[in-house]
Amino acid sequence: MLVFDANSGGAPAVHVLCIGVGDYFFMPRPGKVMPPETVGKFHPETPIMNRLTSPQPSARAVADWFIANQDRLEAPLGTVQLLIGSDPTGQISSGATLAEVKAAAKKWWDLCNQNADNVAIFYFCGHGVSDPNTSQSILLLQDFGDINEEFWRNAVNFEQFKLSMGSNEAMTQVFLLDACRNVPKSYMDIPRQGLSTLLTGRPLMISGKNVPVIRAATLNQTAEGTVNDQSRFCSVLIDCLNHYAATEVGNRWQVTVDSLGSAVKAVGNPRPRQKLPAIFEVGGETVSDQSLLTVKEPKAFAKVFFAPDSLGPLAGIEAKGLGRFSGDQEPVTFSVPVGPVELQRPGDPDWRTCHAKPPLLVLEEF
Amino acid sequence: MALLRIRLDLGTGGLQPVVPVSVTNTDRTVQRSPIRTAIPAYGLLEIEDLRPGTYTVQALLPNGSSLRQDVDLTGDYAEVLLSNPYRSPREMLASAIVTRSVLSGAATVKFESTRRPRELFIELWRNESDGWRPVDLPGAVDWMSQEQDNSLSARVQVPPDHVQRVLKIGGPKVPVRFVMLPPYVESQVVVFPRPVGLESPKQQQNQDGTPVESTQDPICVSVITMNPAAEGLLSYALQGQHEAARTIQDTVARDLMNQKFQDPVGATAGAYAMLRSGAISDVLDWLSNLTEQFEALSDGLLIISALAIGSKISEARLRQLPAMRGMRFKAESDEQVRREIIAMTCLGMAYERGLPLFTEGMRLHLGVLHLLDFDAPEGKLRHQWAHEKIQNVKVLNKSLKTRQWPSRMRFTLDASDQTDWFARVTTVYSDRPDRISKRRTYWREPGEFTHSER
Repeated sequence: MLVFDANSGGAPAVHVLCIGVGDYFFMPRPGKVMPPETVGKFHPETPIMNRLTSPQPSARAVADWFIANQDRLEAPLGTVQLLIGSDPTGQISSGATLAEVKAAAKKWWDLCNQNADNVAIFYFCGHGVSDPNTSQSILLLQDFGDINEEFWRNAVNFEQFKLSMGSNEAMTQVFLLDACRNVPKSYMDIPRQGLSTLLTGRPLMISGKNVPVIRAATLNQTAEGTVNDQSRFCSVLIDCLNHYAATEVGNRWQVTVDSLGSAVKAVGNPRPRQKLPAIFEVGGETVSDQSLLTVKEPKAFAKVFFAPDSLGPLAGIEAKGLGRFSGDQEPVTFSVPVGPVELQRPGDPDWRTCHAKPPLLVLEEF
Repeated sequence: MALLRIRLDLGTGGLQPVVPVSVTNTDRTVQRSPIRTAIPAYGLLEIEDLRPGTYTVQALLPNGSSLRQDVDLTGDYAEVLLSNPYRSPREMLASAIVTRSVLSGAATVKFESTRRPRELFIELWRNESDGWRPVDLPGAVDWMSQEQDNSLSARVQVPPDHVQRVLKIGGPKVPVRFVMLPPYVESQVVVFPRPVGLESPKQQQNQDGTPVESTQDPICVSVITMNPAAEGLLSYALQGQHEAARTIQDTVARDLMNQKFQDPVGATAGAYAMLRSGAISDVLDWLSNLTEQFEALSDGLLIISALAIGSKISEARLRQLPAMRGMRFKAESDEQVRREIIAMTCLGMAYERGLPLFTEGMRLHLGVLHLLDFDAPEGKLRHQWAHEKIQNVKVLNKSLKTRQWPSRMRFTLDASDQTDWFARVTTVYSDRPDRISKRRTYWREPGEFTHSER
């Protein structure tokens, strides 16, 4: 569904395609074993995963963010397409089936292809799995598992979809994948035949374009969602677009194709060997540090780890002018504006001055 | 105006990767934009004409960690030393720890006793004129205890050779895999216990996606060359550190390609980096010379194959390449068909040489097959159409064994199915380098361990 159209008429523009699939026809509701019988017949392997409630608000949040912040984009906002497979009444409705996603992808391809200076943004949130033989990501669409089709028909081979975008004129293509990359056995026992590539254009492999791919999970890992709320990746992504991905170029703070990936990784990922949450991954390729948007309020994401002799995270840390921050486990995290910031341990008379710079301000043994 | 001298000491004894560095005026009063440049391989960088002030110098190492130091530039000159906290008495290992995140983790983590490797054997196989044969290891395996060099377990020194070789590593309770070894240059292979929390390749998952513990690979294998510049470049590219890769790539990748006759393996790494950045078209002739001169490497041919079918480089330019000299093709009217024939010829030549050295080559191979599959009629299985095209390719060059190409394609696809996609050099879970077992019967239950050699 086209939720924003500036009628850019072929002039350089940002074209966004957001897909949020939660209400899978052939998957059970959380807490249930099987999907309702009314939805039709499905492959018996399909219902091993549940419907999701996080992709819908996540895709909506990303689409809304682009519309609300269009004045900050380097190229003006051209179109935003949003495909969500549910409606507010709670009754399941189609919206992100293969046919619908294919049509939206074709439209998106055509729009992006109008000008080399276009910026193509692709965001997918929903179930994803990984092919263990090729390590390729497979994105599951709303009608995945339909018995009338091959098992994998209503799923997308992401790597091949990305290759198909290689022949598109748009020189900047940002792919944001908010989906798991695990390999559930009962799915993987079925040969990966018949996957969709969404696009029909001849694929091009080496394009010399900026094509960063930012993923919510590394290979074999699951991504993290929140019930009825934005996923963790989505929240981090929006925070980075607003503040943490800022990089200084001349006198301006900008988000670039490189800084976005680095910031999402730095802010979202735990320290090496710190126990999960899921680790984000940045891949793809970039040929120049193309600016995507400007940042009004650059901030650094502070992560504070406490020294053994300190009172620990429960006592927290005092930031002058910002307040006290604490938590029940390390690290204690908060936002700090760019520049010098004064920090103090509770009960300690001295203030320590640190210089905050996006994306991260890490304080070890504070 | 003042001079800032930045010294980088990674404890690698002269072998250092080129590292991107940023110099930022800490309070942004005398200089707003950070200076982004690279510290060359000899570890010394001088930045002139800086205004006095406080600066933060930050270098991003290829293993993902960063070194940071604040410096007060008050007089005419200041020096800052960035040094790596981890040192190894073995310079090559120290260099590897700087360029590999997995090793840098292994160097600092104490392993739980149950996660140490179990009984292990290491064999060298060589591609002789009559096929793959096991041969004697050139030297003894250096079994290392945890006390000796943190957690590294076994080290094998491999001298240069002009044919393809693999190291077969496995054990009764360790899945058997063969690891491609760099030809033409000296290398070391390090085997160490898989760090806690590091995902295991090919690990099976239950129906709900939780990993099956018994299918975890208990060891990691790293193949290290003497070229930290190439190792570093690969690391930045593999980790998605695009900015870092680009900062050093202009100098490093071109230099690596330029020095292909001294170090063809490093040049191949450079070619992959330039392929990712789209700059490879500038050095096509170098790439072609690399493929012509070094027949134990099939990576270059895979890159040319991908360029032929998957890029906008002109057909005439492709035909001028030294590697294409003497090639004659049947006349075809459609340009795309002609490009596909060039791509399939390169693919076939690569098949004749064997598997690529780097896992990136295995990825590229799948990509080329996907492009060949593009116009497959409805109902064809994956890669079936590409297989038929390769079966029917006609090349008027008697020296090429075109009849073998379809079966070699199947072999490479079978190897892809068993490839460790996390690894840097091609690693295939199979007990022979010339025959890929399709069923994973070699995963065993974990048990007690000891070191042994056979």
